[in-house]
Amino acid sequence: MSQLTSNSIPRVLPGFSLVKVARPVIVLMLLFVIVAMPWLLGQSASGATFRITLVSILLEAIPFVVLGSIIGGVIEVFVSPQWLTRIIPRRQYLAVPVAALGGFLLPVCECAVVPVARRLLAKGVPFPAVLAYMLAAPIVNPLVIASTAVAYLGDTRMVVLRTVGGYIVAVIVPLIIRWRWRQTDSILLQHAKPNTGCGCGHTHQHGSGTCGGHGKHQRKPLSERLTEAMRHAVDDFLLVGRFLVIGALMAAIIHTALDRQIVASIGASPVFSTLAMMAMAGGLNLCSEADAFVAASLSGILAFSAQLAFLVLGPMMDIKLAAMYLAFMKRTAVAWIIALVCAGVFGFSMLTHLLIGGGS
Amino acid sequence: MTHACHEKHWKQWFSPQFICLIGWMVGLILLLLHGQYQLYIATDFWPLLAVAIGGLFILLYAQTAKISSSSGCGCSAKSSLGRWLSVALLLLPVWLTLAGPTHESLNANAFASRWLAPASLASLTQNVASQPWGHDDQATSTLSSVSLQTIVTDGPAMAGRRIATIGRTYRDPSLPDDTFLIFRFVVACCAADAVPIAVLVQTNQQPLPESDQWIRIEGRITVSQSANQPQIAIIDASHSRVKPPDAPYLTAGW
Repeated sequence: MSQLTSNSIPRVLPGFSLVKVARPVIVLMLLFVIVAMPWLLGQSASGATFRITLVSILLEAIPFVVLGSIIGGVIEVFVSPQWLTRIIPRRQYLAVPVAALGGFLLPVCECAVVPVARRLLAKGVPFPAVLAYMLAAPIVNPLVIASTAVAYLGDTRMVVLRTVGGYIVAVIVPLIIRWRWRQTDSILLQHAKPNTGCGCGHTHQHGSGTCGGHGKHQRKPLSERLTEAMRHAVDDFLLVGRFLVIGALMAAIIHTALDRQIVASIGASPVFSTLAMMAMAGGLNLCSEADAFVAASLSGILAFSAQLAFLVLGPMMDIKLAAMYLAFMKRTAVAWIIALVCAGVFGFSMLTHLLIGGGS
Repeated sequence: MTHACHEKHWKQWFSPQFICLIGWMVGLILLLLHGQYQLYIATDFWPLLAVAIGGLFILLYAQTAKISSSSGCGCSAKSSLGRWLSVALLLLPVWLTLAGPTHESLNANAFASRWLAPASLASLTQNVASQPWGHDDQATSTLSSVSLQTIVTDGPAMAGRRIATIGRTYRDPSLPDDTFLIFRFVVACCAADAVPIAVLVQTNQQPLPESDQWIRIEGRITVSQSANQPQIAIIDASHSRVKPPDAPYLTAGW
């Protein structure tokens, strides 16, 4: 079956294309909606909740996205692929569990991890290892372990199970992806593939001097290399930021529409409460350093396994993260990762329920 | 500099990248200077915004260097409607904070969707009403100002004490005519993770405050039992309207 493209749409008049006319109209309408949004949201109480939630998600995420972009830029310019090849085990089934512990070395939250991961991929780090780091770092890191301990008043069960669960899922999912796609580079969009130069999102040839001569990073003075690193950071910030805003928009809609009493009302069933909490984790997009406080507020209402599922899934996969993944991965791969992570978290939570019971 | 070159240079200064970075930096600086960031994130988290401003300044410097440098790739000079839509999308949060209401925090609507009542409001009122209002052992006449968070966490130990606290009102149709809820949000990081806390208030002062108003309550704490859980209420309360506080949310305390 032939694919429908703008060229295949019949032209009413010579030189007239419906797509060409409709596109600017749609873009202008969207621009109008964006400009009018403060007024539109001011008309209702729900509008205020939506606005505050959207802005708060972004204000909390932006510092980390900026930092992640800067770290990514520094990796791009200062870290050589040869050095990365030396420190990462050659065999991928060994590289994955090692990379999943990367959060202890570079403790970044889920917002900062995407630009860093993008640069690691461009440097030639194998995709399964980068995916393991992306999934594990927001959970298996000292800051998140500490915040979980504080929120649960030192309940070591939750702290240990969250960390262990996050690690196990972060190791298993990339290995399955590796098994599913032998050539994992095919998962990536063109600009994120290794050996395409700086991975700044442009399709031009590097090393030819057309983009500041990226191929000659090593030979430039330090000040120039730092400037070069920050230029890459700008590109990362703008690329990832766009997807972050789209994800936050969807999360704010869910925050505004979701009645948590409904989620709490199915607390008696471990299976349904776990599924409900997983849906909530995916929709609410809470920071991994803050979500434990929300989960702890549900102690006594929802089963322990449901709280655990919320805490393990949220940092690994939510709407905002899925949108940010689309900045450098193909949609099919993102869909697979979402499905595998959800299945892994559900399985781990149910296993926990069977082993330690349904106490809250 | 030729005319074409001059035009290209001008376009680069007004490139989407440059406008986004400037927009975000100015937006964050204004939020920090006016203290409005407290409507969105925890008060203690202001250093994060300072870090973001510093980071954006560095990125802006690099972007300026890119424009000044003749070896720039010129990718940013390309401008189209779609690119400007991206700019609008990236600047949407800044636009919403600067063009939206300046003192609006999470309201009764958010409270209603996020609050997990320990029991139905009607039964909660019955539990409190079944208690002999104001006959607790530790009854004192000294008034102490406490936060709603302290009342919720230490309520059983404060039974009988006269307290004053501020919060926002929530009127529910299922409550009696002399009763309403006073609520606050407790945040760990930002308003997205805000968890509501609330206490039942019984007052003889009519009319009752409208829903969503910031009020100061003076009254006495009483505690009843419901399903083995202590239910805290403020009774014999008087209320007066107050200005919204600069920091509308309480913090979870790491």
